[in-house]
Amino acid sequence: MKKIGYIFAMIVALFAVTNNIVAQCDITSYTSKCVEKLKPQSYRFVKSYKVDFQKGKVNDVEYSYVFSRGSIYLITLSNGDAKTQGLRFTLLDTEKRSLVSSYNEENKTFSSAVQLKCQRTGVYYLRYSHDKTSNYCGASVIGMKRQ
Amino acid sequence: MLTLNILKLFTSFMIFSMKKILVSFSLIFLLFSCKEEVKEKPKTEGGNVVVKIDFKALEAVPNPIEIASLMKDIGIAYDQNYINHVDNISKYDTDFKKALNLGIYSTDLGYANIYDQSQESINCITAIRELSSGLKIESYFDFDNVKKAIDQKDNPQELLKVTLTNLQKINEGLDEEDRGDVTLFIITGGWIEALHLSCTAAKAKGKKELLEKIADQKIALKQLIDILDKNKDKNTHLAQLRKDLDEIVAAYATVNIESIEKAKPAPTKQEGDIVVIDQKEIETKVSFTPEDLNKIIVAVDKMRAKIIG
Repeated sequence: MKKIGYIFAMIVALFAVTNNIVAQCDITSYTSKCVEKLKPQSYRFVKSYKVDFQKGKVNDVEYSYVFSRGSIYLITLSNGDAKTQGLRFTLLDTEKRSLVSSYNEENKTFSSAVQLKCQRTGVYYLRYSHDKTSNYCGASVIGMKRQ
Repeated sequence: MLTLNILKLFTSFMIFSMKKILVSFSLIFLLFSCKEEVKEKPKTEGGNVVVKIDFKALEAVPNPIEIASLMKDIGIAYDQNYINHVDNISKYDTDFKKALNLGIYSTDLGYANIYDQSQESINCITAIRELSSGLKIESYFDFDNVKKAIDQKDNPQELLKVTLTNLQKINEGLDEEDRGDVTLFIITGGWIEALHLSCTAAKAKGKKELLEKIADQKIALKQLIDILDKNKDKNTHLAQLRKDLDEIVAAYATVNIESIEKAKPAPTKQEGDIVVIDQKEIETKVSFTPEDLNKIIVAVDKMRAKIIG
């Protein structure tokens, strides 16, 4: 009986250790993919974000950034899916009104980037959420160029 | 009888071994699950209060690289006299000064990198490495990857990506260590340097786009002030930094930026795999006089001189 208890305790400990390692969200390759998407249109890398939904425990990840008028921003997205399925990005303005989404409600399709031709300097909110996917780890990058 | 004793002895040995294994596993488990707790946190210099700041609010402060990019795009030539000299590092003997100047050199690195100034970039990286080491945050900065990126001369974007990502890692690491004050010093230093670069260039060249960018910094300044106001009582350096920014706040007092929506927002467009939004319905009016610029230049020069001196 004691032996069974020890073995059980060991399995639990081993599982906890393994789980701790697997839970980490490594965004290195996703960030590189996002940066690659900036190149064809000559955007300069400005910032990268970790989009970690913590294995589905978290529904939304939100960041904020000051966008400047006169600039064009490209916000690129990447997760474990080649077509960025399941990673929804929404850009909100200073008043937290939704401006644009990477998800098309009509066609039920996801896009891998959003472009903002900014005419109003202010704090904008970048909201990421997961939608019918098991890819709970991703990255997003902001690139910019002049209008 | 002997067989029974051997069996008892073996059983005792097994139980002892199992206990040892269990203890070992428990220790490993504790080591993994409590790794954050066992991490030694460096002491805060300006006071003993742990500084946990709203890191996400701080991240909203625009990246100084945007100003350097604009300067290059509108045809302003690179000037090495604009940036902080690497020899000044020996003057920075407190964590407060080290962190502020780490921000200064980070902006200078971005500026040099945008203009493909390899030697200046290397100098800035040397300064960043030394200051990072002094602040005990060098583990967050992957200098090997930075060196590799420098060698990729045909891919300047890579160095920008690697250095900016590393700086973000520093900020995230400091956030985890509850050293939010250091993050705040780095970001403020970087922002002051970007404002210094743009003001110095605007004074010499007076480009409209650059003047608009300087006026727009009022919004970034508000972000910094809001965060500092919430944290200034946590240690003496935060209080000092907040006070030092007063003159810049005063210089910006008469700068006015007003945005008006002339029409309903235009619908978004789909261009291939990109969703596009154009805010052409928004008109922005800026009130920014040459006197405002002069006041800002004086205030920024004064604060920068205090930081780098």
